[in-house]
Amino acid sequence: MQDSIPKHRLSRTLSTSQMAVKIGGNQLGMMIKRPFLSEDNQKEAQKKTDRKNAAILFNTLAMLRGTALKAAQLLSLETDILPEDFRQELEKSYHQVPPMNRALVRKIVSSAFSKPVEEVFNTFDLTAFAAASLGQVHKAVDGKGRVLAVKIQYPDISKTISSDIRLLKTAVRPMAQSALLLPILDEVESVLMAETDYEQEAENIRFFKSRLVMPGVRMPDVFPEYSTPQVLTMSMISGTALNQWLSEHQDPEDKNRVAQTLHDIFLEGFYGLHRIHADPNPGNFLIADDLSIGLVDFGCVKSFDPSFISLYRQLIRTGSTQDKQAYADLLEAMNIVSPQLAPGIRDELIHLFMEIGQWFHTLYRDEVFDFAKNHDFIETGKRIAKQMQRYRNHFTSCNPDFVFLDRTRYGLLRLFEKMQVKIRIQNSYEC
Amino acid sequence: MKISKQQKLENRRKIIESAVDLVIEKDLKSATMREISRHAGIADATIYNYFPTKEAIVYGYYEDRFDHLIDQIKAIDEFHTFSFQEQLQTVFETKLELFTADREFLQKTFKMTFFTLSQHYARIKPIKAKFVAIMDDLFESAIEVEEIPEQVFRELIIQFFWEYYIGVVIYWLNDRSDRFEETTVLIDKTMDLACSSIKAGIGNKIFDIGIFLFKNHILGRMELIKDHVDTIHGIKKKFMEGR
Repeated sequence: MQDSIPKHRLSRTLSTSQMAVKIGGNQLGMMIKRPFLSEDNQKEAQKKTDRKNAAILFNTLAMLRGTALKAAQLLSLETDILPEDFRQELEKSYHQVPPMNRALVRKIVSSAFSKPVEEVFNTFDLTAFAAASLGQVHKAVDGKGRVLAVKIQYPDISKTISSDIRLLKTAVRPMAQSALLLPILDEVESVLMAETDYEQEAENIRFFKSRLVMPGVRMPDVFPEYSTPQVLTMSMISGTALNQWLSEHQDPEDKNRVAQTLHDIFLEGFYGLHRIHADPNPGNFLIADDLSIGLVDFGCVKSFDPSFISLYRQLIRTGSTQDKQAYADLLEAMNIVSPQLAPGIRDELIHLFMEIGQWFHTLYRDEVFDFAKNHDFIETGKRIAKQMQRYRNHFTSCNPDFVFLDRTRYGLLRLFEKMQVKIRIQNSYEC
Repeated sequence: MKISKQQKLENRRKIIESAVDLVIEKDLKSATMREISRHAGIADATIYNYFPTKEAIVYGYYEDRFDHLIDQIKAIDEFHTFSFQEQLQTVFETKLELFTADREFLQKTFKMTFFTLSQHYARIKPIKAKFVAIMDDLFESAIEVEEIPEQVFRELIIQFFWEYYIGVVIYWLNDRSDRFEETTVLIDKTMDLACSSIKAGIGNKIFDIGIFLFKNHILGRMELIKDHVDTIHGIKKKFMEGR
């Protein structure tokens, strides 16, 4: 039996406006209390309110599924707004129960090819074997005996995404963190829209398959004769999804191998092909017995300007030095720090960025970086990043490319910390 | 000249197809029996052996479509493994799929046929009966495997599905989205709700509440009344017997 997902706009509105009322109520409670609290207690009380708001926000997001879960995933990477146990709930969401029943699946495939699904493929498994970001994947065999992975999405989904985002924005506006959250929602919208464009994804797969030639990395072939903008058919890639693989494999050497490959894929993609997977989801890395990695989700690939890439590279190299001027120049050239900022703020920001640069540079200090030994590496980075959040309002002109890249890279590092691996971060591109 | 049953069916099919063509080209009002028979390659008089009026041809079309639906469903190997909701949904989706080629014909005739005055109800009855037979079948097998409980108000619920079916087709006829995705979403979501209610036996629960209320309260009141009635009878009897 399906959970009741409020898909009609009216019931969705009720859901998020209920939430807005709840959150609004919280803020008001805060404001009434405030004058009577000492400064420390005020901060403490605000933190409590923030946590409460986060809980309410998350519970509502969980009800709205799809779009909203994506927003929550990105939120959790970006900020500390969501508490740890919610983040763990999110982990589970990577393997959601597919929401489309067999009747719906039949309808989607049949109408995509204008004939009954039984006439398109030799066999087609109406029950999905994997969940995809906004859809699910089915196994099929064609007339030539080839085993295929057919990805499908819920009908009419782009309209759902737009209306979801609009509603979430309405709910987020009264919140204290709205300046932080609203741009994130815009991002979520573009990420999701990109992920529902299967034609674009097919393009991405072809691109990577032909250019990313690395040992230990496998990518699918696209079958255009069985693909439409709403149905993407690829060759079947074998392997176990990374989070499941991690729960079954403890050998440190194996884990190091896998992590190293993941890191190398990122470097090769970014510096070699000028493109990255802009949302590394552990569910999309399939590990085989020979420890090779199968890449299966190319829904959101971001490409970068070569000039940006060379500046970024310089930024990393300059990160270890104390050369404040050089660093400041780079940050401005990359549009990360605006020259129009008040000098006091500008100074503080550059200082913070230098701190981040130094923190990041610890990764390159030794030939191999041990995430288990440096167990507070991520924590340290978070602390500095948090301080930067205070200047969020000054980031209106911040380079979105940088944000994207930063978040992807940071996501990978967090994954490595979770895996507790030792890998070589030093590379010829950045050192 | 006697013609085979096969030939009769073929003629009937030709006539219906011809009427569909002509209605799409112009409309039902302007199409004449003569034109229809000519277009079908059937002699003018012969057409009346099959259908008395052109409206009757339209009813014939809709009735045939349900037979066609049954054939399509039978061609789906796994259908018997589907859940109750999946089966219902497949029936509705397949019906629309079958209607797609004749969409224009439906746009001109569906509402007029099914939003009808009671005097014409007799014409729809055979069409509705086919729909009901399919629904009965699905309900029966779901109850057999205990997927849903026996429904106290089954006929009413199926009547509801008939109204729902009419509504869905009309929604679909006005649907301008790509691949009629909006109708698909409508069906998916409403089926969810309808089937959850059926599974939860909500109709049955309402019935149980009704029985409870009736037994405990209404009957109880009636006991009181009965007592009064007995008393009055007693008095009357005594009076009549002169005591």
